Amino acid sequence: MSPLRILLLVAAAAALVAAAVLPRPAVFAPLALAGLVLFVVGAGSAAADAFPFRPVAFACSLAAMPLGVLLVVRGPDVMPLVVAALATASQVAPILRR
Amino acid sequence: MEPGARTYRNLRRALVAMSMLCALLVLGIAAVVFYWKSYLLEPRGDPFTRGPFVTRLTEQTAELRWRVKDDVPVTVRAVGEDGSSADARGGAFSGLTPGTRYAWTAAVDGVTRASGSFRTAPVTADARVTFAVVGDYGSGSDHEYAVGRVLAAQQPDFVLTAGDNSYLFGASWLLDRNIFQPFRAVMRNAPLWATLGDHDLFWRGGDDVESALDLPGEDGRYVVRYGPVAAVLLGHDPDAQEIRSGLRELKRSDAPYEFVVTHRPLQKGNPLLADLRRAGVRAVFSGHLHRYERRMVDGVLNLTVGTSGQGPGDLEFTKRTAGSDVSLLDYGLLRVDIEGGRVRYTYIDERGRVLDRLTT
Repeated sequence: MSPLRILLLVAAAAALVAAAVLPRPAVFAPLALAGLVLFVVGAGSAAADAFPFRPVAFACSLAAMPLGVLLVVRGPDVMPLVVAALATASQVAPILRR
Repeated sequence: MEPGARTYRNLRRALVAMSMLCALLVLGIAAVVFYWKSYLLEPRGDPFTRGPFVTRLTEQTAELRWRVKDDVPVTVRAVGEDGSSADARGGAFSGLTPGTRYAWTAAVDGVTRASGSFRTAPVTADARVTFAVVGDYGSGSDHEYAVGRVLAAQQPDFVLTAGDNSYLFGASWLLDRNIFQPFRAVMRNAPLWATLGDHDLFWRGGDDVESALDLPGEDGRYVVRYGPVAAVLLGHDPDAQEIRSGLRELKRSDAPYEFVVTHRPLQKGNPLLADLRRAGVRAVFSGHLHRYERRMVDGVLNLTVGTSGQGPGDLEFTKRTAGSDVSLLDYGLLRVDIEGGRVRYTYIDERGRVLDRLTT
């Protein structure tokens, strides 16, 4: 498991916990931070998974980027929880596939 | 580790770092654009290229005109100080309450883009009325803008102009610069009833000014009535027949306060002054001479207000009129207050100072 994947997993898990536990507006700051990490590290991780090309890992890394943006832009109450869960799942999937 | 594998690993790391840097850059740009759009970008510009401005005002009706980009639909509504509301059709309000101030708003695409207010004419003869007189103003100069601001601050019910509404001539493409922009604030709240001077008439016989201001008569000749006040505007240099015709119109109006507006001042010895005196005309307002002058001419109060923007120019051609009680070169406007049977004339300069005052 690459350090980038660990970072993505930590950020996604933190967002999931924050979305589940914290009320608004206290949840916005951790979600935004996790979103930024998912976006930036997701870009790096996607590049790493491209050479050599690992389709599932690449797709999961790439998915971290839009999910990160969605965490930053907030949305309805339930959205952060769903997005954070998706982000976590997308980072767990390549690990389980090994 | 083989050199080839090391190079591959380094290149891969560089690619990862570059990707993350690019992502950071995208975030930075997005943050700047978001901040710029949210906090720095000004709202969409004014869709109105002219106005809206009040053109007609009676006891129960009012009319606004405007020009708007792309001819988009404009919704105009007014709320009266008595709590009543009215919707305009094509800019025209009807069924208003007399002597009531209405605040109007003009919305484009559901957003109010302009607002102002007007006071409908009162029906009672003893109601207080305030109006202003300006003349020789349409220069688009800083002085005209200053007079326009002072004028708006007086909150007149209407404004009479003694002509020369646009210099050097009253061509349509000059009118925004010379009339509608400098007097924008006051025109949102009060109709500008203008007579025409030689500079207006020079271009297409004054048609452009008449049309733009939606004047109720040709060549700047018509009678307006606002509550207890009636004014006959007689144009550039009315002859005897035109003055007598105007006076007949005034008589028909049966207003307790009657005024005459001509562009050129009437001079001593003019036999028509006797007609004006007999008709009970309170004062004659004029311009042409770029001075403010107060004169009693053959028993008729003459007030020249040729100082509202264009300036005196060569003093050789802007000489004091013999026999004038007051003669000033200061830019300004005349405020007229009518209340309790008295008429108070106040000349206010472009800095807001009162330079002359007379109560009759």
